[in-house]
Amino acid sequence: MIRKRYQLVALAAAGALVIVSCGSDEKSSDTTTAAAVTTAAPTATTTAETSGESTETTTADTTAESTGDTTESSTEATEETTEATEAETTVATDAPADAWTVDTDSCSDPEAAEAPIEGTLKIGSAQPLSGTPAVAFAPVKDGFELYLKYANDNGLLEGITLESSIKDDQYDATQTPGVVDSLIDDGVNIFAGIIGTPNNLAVRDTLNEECIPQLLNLTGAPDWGNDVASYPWTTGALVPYDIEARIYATTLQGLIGDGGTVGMFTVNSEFGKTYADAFKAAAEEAGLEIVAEQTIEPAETAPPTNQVGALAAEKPDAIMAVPLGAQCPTFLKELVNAKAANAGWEPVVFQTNTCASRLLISLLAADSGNGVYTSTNLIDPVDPANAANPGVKTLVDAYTAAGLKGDLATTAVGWTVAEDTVTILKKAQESGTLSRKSIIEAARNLTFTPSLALPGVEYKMNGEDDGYSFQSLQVEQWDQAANLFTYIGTPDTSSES
Amino acid sequence: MPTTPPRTIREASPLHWAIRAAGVAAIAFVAIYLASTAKPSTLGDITEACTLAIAAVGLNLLFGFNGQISIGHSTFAGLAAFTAGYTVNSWEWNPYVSLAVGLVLCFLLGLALGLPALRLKGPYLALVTLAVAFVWPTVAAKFLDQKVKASTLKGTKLEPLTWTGLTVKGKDSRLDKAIFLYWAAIVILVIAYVIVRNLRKSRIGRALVAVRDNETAAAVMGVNLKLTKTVTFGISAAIAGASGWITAARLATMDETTFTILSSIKYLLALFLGGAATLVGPIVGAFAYFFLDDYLKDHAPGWDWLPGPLSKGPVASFLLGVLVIAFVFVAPFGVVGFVKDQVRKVFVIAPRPLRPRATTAEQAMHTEDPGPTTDGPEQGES
Repeated sequence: MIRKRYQLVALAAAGALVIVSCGSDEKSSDTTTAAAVTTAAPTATTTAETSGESTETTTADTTAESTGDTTESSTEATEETTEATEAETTVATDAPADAWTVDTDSCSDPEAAEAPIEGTLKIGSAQPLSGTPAVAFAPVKDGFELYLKYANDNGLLEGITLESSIKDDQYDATQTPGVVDSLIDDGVNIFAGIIGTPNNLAVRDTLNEECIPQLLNLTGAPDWGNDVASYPWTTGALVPYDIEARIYATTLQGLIGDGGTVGMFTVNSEFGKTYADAFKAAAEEAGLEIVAEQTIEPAETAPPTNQVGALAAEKPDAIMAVPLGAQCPTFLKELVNAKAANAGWEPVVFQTNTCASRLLISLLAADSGNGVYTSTNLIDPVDPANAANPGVKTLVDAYTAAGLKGDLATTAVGWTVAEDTVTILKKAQESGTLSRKSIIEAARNLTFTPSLALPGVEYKMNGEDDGYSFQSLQVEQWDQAANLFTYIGTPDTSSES
Repeated sequence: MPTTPPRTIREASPLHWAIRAAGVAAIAFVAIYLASTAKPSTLGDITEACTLAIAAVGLNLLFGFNGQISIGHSTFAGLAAFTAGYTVNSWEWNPYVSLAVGLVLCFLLGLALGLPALRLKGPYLALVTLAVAFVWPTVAAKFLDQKVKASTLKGTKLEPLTWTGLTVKGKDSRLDKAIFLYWAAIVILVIAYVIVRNLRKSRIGRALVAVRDNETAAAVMGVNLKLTKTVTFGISAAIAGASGWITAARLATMDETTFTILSSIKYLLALFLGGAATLVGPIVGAFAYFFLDDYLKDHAPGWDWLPGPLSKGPVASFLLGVLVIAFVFVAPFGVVGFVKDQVRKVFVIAPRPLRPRATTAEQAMHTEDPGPTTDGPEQGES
């Protein structure tokens, strides 16, 4: 009897595990899938392109800063022009003498951080490769490895062979430290493209203590750029969520006018709260009125019928939605139902670009994603109109040759993160020694235009003055019939610093 | 059936003691050897397996020996973890004091949860604890602000006690920290094991098993059902809390998704994989589960022919679930039950004869735990 009981309970538990692995959405994503990542270009096009903004203030001498006289330090800051006049093979650089440098004294092993890297350079990452989030994210790894292969085949880094080791953390932040630890023990030189805000936070301290670059985190949390002094070794790849929220508020004002009413639907997590606060502040500035706020728990998998009903009751002119992962399509479907039940109510809908992959806005949402606004900073490789673009062509050729099947736009995200990484490595190599120190210094003193970036979008970091890589976004609208995004206006570059 | 009859070893005979001592020495040797040679990541893996093992040991006391099922143990781990994170970061408490306070809170919450357990059994109790596990992340999300949720013991004054001779500064700080947490986890695991073992081998343990097997009979024999069940729930909860404290020390960030129902399911799976109602079962199971999971994540194939989401990546969790189901059919009492069955063909350990002055009532209570197999006594910690 007791045997039977144990067997039953064990079966139930194991069954639950299988079900979790197949369906439930315990931890959906708050990182961007396809749309939001901007990245670098195949080296052919990675010319220095600072010409868009021809001058750039480099960081003041660190000695000047240490005097505590900030005014003086800013006047001493060298106004330097980084023209895009350098040769094709080089990347735009600031003069080395003034460039931001990292202090390795506080590293647990300063010598290792400055030791030259020769022969093989290992890039590590932790990404969801199994479990529910893997559905949306798996192509990122494909794209990343695809570009590294492209870089090796074309000898983009002289004398260096790139190797990648991407391990599975199932989008579970409690697993990320273990994954990263084992990668460090395996001799990984740098990390790039770790997916997920909590996942990156979980290893940020370790990597900064060890002085191992944690480049291009695939998340838009403002954390990656607002405290360069404390976390010099960590950088992000996505446009910060607060900038995204502000761009939406500005665009919304243009669509519904001053005094327009907005209903908000946000996920009740750090991601959602950051987003909601930023949007509220921006909405107030834009003269919009928030008339309803509804939230959804991050782990919730049921359709948000009540929340959408409450929003519909207020009949706002627009809706700003920040759901997580699989909640994006369920929200859109519920909204269509609510619109059907409230004839004449046709709100303008904005959804965070973490929901902007074709999987979430179209495949899973049926037709309900039609007309929804979101944003991107990457050329859509799926759009036939872009087929002739050299960056897209390189990607598609490699994608086809490798026989990949995952979502092309999401693959492009991984591809571009790898392209950014290789561009950073190239600049570090040009500085003389390729070391962990020179790599993070290259990452933070770099301006270039990735091959798949939309016009006006560029990777630009400048020491402590500009800790964010990408800060421009193109607002776009999903057109279900054409299965394409339509761009609204031109990319908003006003947040660039 | 073996052709030759198994050799009999008397419990507490010199040979039996020698076997036990050799077992303990071997485990101690492996632990020390690993601490001095292993890489930080390996030590980190073992630490993580230990946290799972601690929770499983706690759950075993409740479910294996007392028959009360709980799918809510992740709540206790979460409570202790957040208590530690909050008190240490906001009130600058000593991390070790925070552990003690966390355990007390878990014990009290466990007592409270033990109350409905007095009336509910089997699937109904499972549902109540399931609800608790579901509610916990929401409570954490609603009532804890971001600072609290993100607070862990990492980067705080959590340092080895000076008499241990461990330090966590300097060039090899990553390794040193890994070694420190490794020993902390092992020490807590050993303490949890000893507590459960001593409870099990004592009068209280016999009462627990009696309650599990037949409540009415146990009550008739004078076992205080209410006290036994609620206190067991409390102790079990406190042990799970200790595992949460280690998690708080190991991770750099936590939030409401760190301790979900999935963690509770992991505890249960570890317990079943190793063998419920055996003393070492949950520990063996936790290590087996952890390293199997780890292996599958690195080596699972991506099967394109599988339907839907599964085809998009390696099928690690799916395979793990299927393997556990298959294993439960082959060895319903887990690894330890299976090994015991095999060992029993070679030799058996005969129980110590009862002391002559034992009363009949005591004799009745002395009837060994039928436990995993109905045909033999416990075999110590071999």
